[in-house]
Amino acid sequence: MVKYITLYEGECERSIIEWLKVKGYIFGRMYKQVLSDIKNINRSLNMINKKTVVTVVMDCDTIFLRESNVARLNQNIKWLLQNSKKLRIITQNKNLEDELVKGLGLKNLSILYQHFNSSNKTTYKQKLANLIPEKLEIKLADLDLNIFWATKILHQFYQQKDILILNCALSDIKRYTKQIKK
Amino acid sequence: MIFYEIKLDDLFQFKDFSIDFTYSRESKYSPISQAHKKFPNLKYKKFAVLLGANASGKTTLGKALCLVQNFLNGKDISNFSFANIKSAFEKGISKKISIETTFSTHSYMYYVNFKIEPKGITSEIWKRISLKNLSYIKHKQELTESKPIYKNDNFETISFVSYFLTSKENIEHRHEIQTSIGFIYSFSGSDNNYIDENIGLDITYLKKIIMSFDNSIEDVIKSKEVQGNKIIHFKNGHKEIILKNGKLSDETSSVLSTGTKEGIMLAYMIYALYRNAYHTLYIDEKMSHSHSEIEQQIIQILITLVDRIDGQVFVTSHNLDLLDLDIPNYNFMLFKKNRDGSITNVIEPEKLVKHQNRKLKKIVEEDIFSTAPTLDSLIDLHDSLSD
Repeated sequence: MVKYITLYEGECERSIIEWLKVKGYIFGRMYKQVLSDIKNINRSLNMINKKTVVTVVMDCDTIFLRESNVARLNQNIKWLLQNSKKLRIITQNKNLEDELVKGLGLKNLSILYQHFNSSNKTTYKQKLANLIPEKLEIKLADLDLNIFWATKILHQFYQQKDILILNCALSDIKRYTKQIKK
Repeated sequence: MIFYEIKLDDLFQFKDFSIDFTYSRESKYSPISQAHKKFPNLKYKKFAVLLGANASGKTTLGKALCLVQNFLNGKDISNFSFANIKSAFEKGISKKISIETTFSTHSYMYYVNFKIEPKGITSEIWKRISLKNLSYIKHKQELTESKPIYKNDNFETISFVSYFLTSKENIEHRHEIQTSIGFIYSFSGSDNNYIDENIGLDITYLKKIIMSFDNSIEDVIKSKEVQGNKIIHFKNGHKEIILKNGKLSDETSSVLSTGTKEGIMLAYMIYALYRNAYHTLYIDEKMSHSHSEIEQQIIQILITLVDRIDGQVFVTSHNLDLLDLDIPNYNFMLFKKNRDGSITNVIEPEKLVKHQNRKLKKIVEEDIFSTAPTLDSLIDLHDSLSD
């Protein structure tokens, strides 16, 4: 049986993924793991095997700043490509707040904070992280899922580095998941 | 007594929490009719399998229900060992507790809403209507429209006992409620292994249940010398007294496995349900040391027994194999704590999974409801271990 897992980086992303799971975009267990930080991936992510479809949601605002990060990220992506059934990487441009501003069609970050009844980034993060899917459904009713998590930054980066990597958008994932389930 | 709905706020980890023990449409997968015996249109969940990760609130819900039943029994609710409200106020965990529930006795449906502050119960609202052969929604509507039979938020004396139930003029209500209350809560981790001698423990029940746990047991017999004592005979010829004066003997630890010891208390609860001694059973992880197949079989026995009465059985577990039980989705409830540590709701799969015949186990294994335990810190630890 095909098994799905999703790796994410922060509690706000977790809230969004929980909501997307209820909506049928993403399946499977979630693990809070930063791919560029994992030292022994074959040990720590040993739940992954050739029957596992892995989705990684990652920030791209700081990842490419340090060479050591990039080296480990490369190594871990290669391992995932070799050891999983499929690897899908959703790259955020630049981080979740920016994705939400874009996807909700808002003017700037302060309007996003207001949208979550917050006045600053800290309270916005706390509120978003604690929203259950039913409440998030109301808050994100206007989120355009063709725009949200649709950037393919990593793809461009790896093309520059001459490494082929399957990078995709959220809408691709839903289509692909449906195909596998059939 | 039957619980239909309960709302809790600021009690333990429950914040603005509600749970619904009713359902709208009977499933063809239900092995028993889940409705009031006298009023079959009044449907309620006669059993609930409560699943969730560690510390997700399964035990805490049992403690809250137990607290409410003690309140309805006219008891002082300030200082129970399982749920110490005074201590919660002192530590600042709770500031103003609000409890709201709808329940029925033999002939009436009651609604009660009461508030507890550090000084005691500060507000009580009671409503009551007669039971009819109508749906719960219709009963609820009538309750909402009815005038309170009692309302007070200005008590002369403040205590942790229901003012309404202890007032002389309300003796009829007190009698009505108390005669329909009978409960046993068996919490995980507690050593409450007491068996009520008035109910007793039938030797056949005991024998059949613990022999399924341990096949080295040849027989279980009543002691001829001391009434109430039970003796196990093992196939290797060894004998041991397992029950002395209604309590598990100290010797049981050396001769019986943890699972088998749990089996003795399960035998008691099953027999008590058979005797109709209790209407509410909360069995909290009492089968955590049992084989999955034994756990499933015992739950099926409990379902058969609760069919005979107007009562409710709650079983909490971590065992996802229970999702293989051929029972409706509405008999499962999934627990999940919010990331701020509060519990605001339980996941009722029937409200999220449209197709009743879709296998719930697969859905839970795919973690659609995000109820799986959080393993991140263990993964981090594993990742950081040096070679």
